[in-house]
Amino acid sequence: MEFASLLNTFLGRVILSVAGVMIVFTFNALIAVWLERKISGHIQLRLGPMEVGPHGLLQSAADGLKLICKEIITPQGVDKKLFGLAPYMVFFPSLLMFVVIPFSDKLQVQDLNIGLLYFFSISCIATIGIFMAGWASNNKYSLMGAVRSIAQSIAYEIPIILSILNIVIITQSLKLSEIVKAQSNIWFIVPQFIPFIIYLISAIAELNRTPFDIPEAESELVAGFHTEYSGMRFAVFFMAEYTNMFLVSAMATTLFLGGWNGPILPPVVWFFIKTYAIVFIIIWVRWTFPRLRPDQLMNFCWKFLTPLALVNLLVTTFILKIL
Amino acid sequence: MFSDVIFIIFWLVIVVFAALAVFLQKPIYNAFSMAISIFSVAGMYIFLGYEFLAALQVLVYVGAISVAIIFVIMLSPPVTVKPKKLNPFKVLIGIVTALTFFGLFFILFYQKYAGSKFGNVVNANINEVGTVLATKYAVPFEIISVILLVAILGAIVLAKKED
Repeated sequence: MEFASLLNTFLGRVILSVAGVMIVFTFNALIAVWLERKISGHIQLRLGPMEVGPHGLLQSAADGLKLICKEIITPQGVDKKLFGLAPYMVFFPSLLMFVVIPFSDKLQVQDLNIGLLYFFSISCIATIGIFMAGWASNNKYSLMGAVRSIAQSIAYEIPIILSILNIVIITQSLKLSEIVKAQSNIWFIVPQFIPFIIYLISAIAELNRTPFDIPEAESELVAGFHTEYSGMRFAVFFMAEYTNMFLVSAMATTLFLGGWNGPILPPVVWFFIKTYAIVFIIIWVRWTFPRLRPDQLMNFCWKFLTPLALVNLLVTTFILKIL
Repeated sequence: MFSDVIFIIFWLVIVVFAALAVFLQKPIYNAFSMAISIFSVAGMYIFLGYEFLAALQVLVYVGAISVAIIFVIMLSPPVTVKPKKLNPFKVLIGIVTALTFFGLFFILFYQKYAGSKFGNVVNANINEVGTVLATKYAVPFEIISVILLVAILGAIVLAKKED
C-alpha cells in the first residue's frame, strides 16, 4: 500500500500516529535530559557530559540502557499492585496528551473540537498516579511528597486555566488548529504577555521543578513520591517528567508563540525551535533560582497569580466588548 | 462491528470497576476503582459523540472529586476493612431501591428517546452549552455559583475555628 493511501485508512492512521508519537517521545527524552545536563553544566562553569558521543550527545541513551538492565527492586512492605501500577499511571496521560499537539498544519494526530480542554483534563489523571506511588510506597517521605505534589498541582491549575481562557475568548474556539491559525498575523504573546508569564510560572510549578520543587525537595524529602523506586520504574517517572516538560512547552508554543507559523523554514521545524526555546527557559529557571518554602509557594499562587489572572481576564473581556 | 466491540469493552470496564469499588476491601483500592470506572464513563461519552461532556467528566470527576476522596483516604493508615456479615433485610432493601430507580430512569428515557439512535440525541457542543447557560438558564447558573461561594466560605470558617 502506498504511503498516502495508508494515511486515509483508520488503521493506517492509528499505526502511523502511534509510531510518530513514540519517535517524538523518545527523541525528546534523550535530547531534553542531555540539554538539562549540558545547560546546568555551563551555568555552573562545568562542561557537563562529554565522554559518550560528540559533546556527550549519547549520554542519555547510555543512561537509559543502564536503567533498563538494572534489577527492578520491590521493597518489603509496599503495596505491590499499586506500586507496580503507579509509574504507568503517571506515564500514560503524557502519551495521551500528544494526541492534540499540532506539530504542523498536517501533522496532528487528531484535531479535536475541544483540544485545549482535552489536554488539560487528561493532565489531571497524572495526579492519581502520583497518589498511587506515594501511598503504595508505605514511606513517610513518599507520602509527604505526594500530598505536597497534589496540593501544589491543584492550586496552580487555576492560574493556568484562567490565563488560557484569554486565548479562548479571543479565538472563540477550543480547537488548537484554529488557535494557531488565528496567530498568523500576530502572536498572542504580544497582546497577552501577562497571561504568558502566568502560564509559564504555573507550568513550572505543575512540573514540580525548581523553584517550585517542594514535592521532591531532596534536602527534606529524599526524592518525594518516587523515593522507593529504582531501575526502569524510576526511569518511567523520569521520562514522564521530561515528556511533560516538552508537552507544556509545546502548549505554550501553540497558544502564545504562534505554533507552526513562521517564514522560510518548514512548519514542523518552527514548532520544534519554539518549543525547545521554552524548554531552554524552563531549564534556565531551574538552575538559577533557589527553592521556595511551601507557604511562600501557596501564597504566591493564591494571593498573587490567581488574582492577577482574574484581573487580566476581566480586562481582556472588557476590551473585546468595546472593540 | 468494530464500534460494537469498543462499546462492550467500555461497558465491561465500567461495570467491573464499579463492582470492585464496592466489593474490594482496602479503601484506597475502592477509590482507585471508582476513578477508573468514572474515566471509562468519559470514554463512553466520547463514543456517543459528547466530547465536551467527556472532557468535563474527566476534569471534574477524575481530576477533582476522585482526587479529593483519595486525599482523605491517604491520610488514614493503610487498613483492610473486614467484610461484615450481610443482613438479608438490608440487601433486599438495597436491591428494591436500585431496581426502582433503574426502572424509573428507564421509563423516562425510553419515552423521550425511544425512536432516536444513540449518538445524536442532543447536540451538546460547547457553543450551544455556553449559549444556553448564558441565556435560558442564566438565573439557575448564577444561583449555583452563589451556593458554591457560600460553601467555600463555610468551609473556610469551619477550618479556621480549629486555631
